[in-house]
Amino acid sequence: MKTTPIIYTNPELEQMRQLVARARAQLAALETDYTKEKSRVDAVQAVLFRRLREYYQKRDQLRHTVDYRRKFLASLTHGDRQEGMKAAEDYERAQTQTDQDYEELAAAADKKKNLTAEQEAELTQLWKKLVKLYHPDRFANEPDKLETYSKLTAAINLAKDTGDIELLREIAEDPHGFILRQGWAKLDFSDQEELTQLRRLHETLQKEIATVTESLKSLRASPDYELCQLAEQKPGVLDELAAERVKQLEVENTELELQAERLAKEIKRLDGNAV
Amino acid sequence: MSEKHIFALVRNPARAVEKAAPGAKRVLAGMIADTLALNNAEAKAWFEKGENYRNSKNYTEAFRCYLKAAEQNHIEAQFNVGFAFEHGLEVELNEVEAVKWYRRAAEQEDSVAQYILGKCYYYGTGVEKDLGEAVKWFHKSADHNDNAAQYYLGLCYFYGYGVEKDCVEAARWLRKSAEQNDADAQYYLGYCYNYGEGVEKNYAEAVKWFRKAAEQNRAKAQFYLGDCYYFGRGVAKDYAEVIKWWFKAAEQNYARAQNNLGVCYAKGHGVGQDYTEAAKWFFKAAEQNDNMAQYYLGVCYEYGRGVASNYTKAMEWFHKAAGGGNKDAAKKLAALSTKVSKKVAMNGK
Repeated sequence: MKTTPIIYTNPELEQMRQLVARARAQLAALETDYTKEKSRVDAVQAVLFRRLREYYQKRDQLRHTVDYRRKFLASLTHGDRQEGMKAAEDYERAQTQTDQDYEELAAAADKKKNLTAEQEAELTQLWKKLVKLYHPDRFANEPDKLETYSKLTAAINLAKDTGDIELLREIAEDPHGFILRQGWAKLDFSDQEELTQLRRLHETLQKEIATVTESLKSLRASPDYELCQLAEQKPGVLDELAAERVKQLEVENTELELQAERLAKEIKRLDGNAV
Repeated sequence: MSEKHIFALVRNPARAVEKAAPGAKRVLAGMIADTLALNNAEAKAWFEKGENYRNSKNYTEAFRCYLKAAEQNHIEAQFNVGFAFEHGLEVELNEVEAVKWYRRAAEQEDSVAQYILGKCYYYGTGVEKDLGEAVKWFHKSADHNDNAAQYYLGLCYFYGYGVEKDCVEAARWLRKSAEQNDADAQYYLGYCYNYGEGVEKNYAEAVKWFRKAAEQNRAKAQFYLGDCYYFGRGVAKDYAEVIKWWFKAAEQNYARAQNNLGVCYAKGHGVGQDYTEAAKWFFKAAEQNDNMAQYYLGVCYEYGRGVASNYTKAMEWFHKAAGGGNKDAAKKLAALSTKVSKKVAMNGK
């Protein structure tokens, strides 16, 4: 009679490991989709921004000018110098803010590159590795490690949102090396062997899956996504629309310029020194 | 801050400038909104132009305008273009193109397009057959309360097509559709009640739904409703009603009803006994390979009921019925063959 072999594996533990692996695969697939789609959406936006920036910025500045001159004119008729000074200050601030906003957007648009087909394909592999780093409550009781973990996840998320595939690759290929180069505290990402820990990991992975699903859903429901789809499905449509928009803005800007000039003349008539 | 929230905090969907100043965010959002509005205005103009052409029956021009609007994401235009390709109207029939346009409208949550796309996957027209995808699109459309999609979704759950078989879920979707007066769903819901599939067996409910579908001329429902009256299941036995409903189904060439109607004429149930009529209905059903009808028709020929007695023909029909697994027919065939061969032998003497 044969003896029953001794089974060393704990079936419950095995099952939990499988569940964790499955959740990770699902999360990796979702993250890949998100990165891909987000990157495409941003690339389309960058194109649109570059085409229209000049005209929008000019329009916004002209609007500020018109607004300011109106207020200044009102202060003259009221004979309230203080009101006039406040309008000038507000105007100054608004112009600076507008210039800053456009600079920021321009910087973001310049950084934005289309992912190549190879890079898109590579993402799947990268995320399979990256989701293994996901251990949210692993470092809860060790402040220095928790800090490293926070910085690391922030870096991953930023790389994801900007489509910085080089950085994603750097972290995925060698997370320890990356952490070391940043001079952060060391982290241990190996899976803990205890059932309760695995169970907790599985739970948080599920929550994470829900979060990414939600992000993907709201991305797909956004006007940004609609624009991206439009651009991808009908080549050239973005150029056509931008050209049309430029025409409209040119008309709008000419009108604003005329208005600003009229106001300037009016102010000059009332107060020779102003403007 | 709990570490659990780190991913969520930094993530924040949509724009690359999410973390930039709200002013910058607003600037970009404004640009996108303006551009989309411009696009939508153009798309709408093309669509309306298409509508005008259609109203003046210039379909070629209408299609051209719809296509322009569809390319600019106009949902109704996308549906129209899909429809034109599906049916080859003003353009060469092209199922692949049809699927492409239905998909675009479906992705923009057009419930009818979602239903049709589901059907394309269900039958594999214009796209590789994929029941899982079919279920996905039926589900989306059904969630928008499309009764046809709810019916198909119910069917998928009922048979386990593209999804794990689940009769409770099937009955739930069939009911939604049936309550919107979808005759096919009414029939299936009646079936569920009749056999207790996914709902508790309830003959009165079965009769109620069979009747609704039968009144909308669904042959199967008419057959089952007649059946309920015949056996007094969920309703009082009433041969006049039996004849009424089986006759309607039989006229639609539903073989089982034709056979049963033949039986009514043969037995004089609800009608005067009339073998000629009986044989007529048996013949119609037998021609559609109805096993029982083939057997009964054989009997008619054997004994000369409603038709002239003819052993050769009787044997022919018994043979067919026996081939379909009818044991009575097999016995009859054997007996008749012996009888005939004896007769031949006697004549030979």
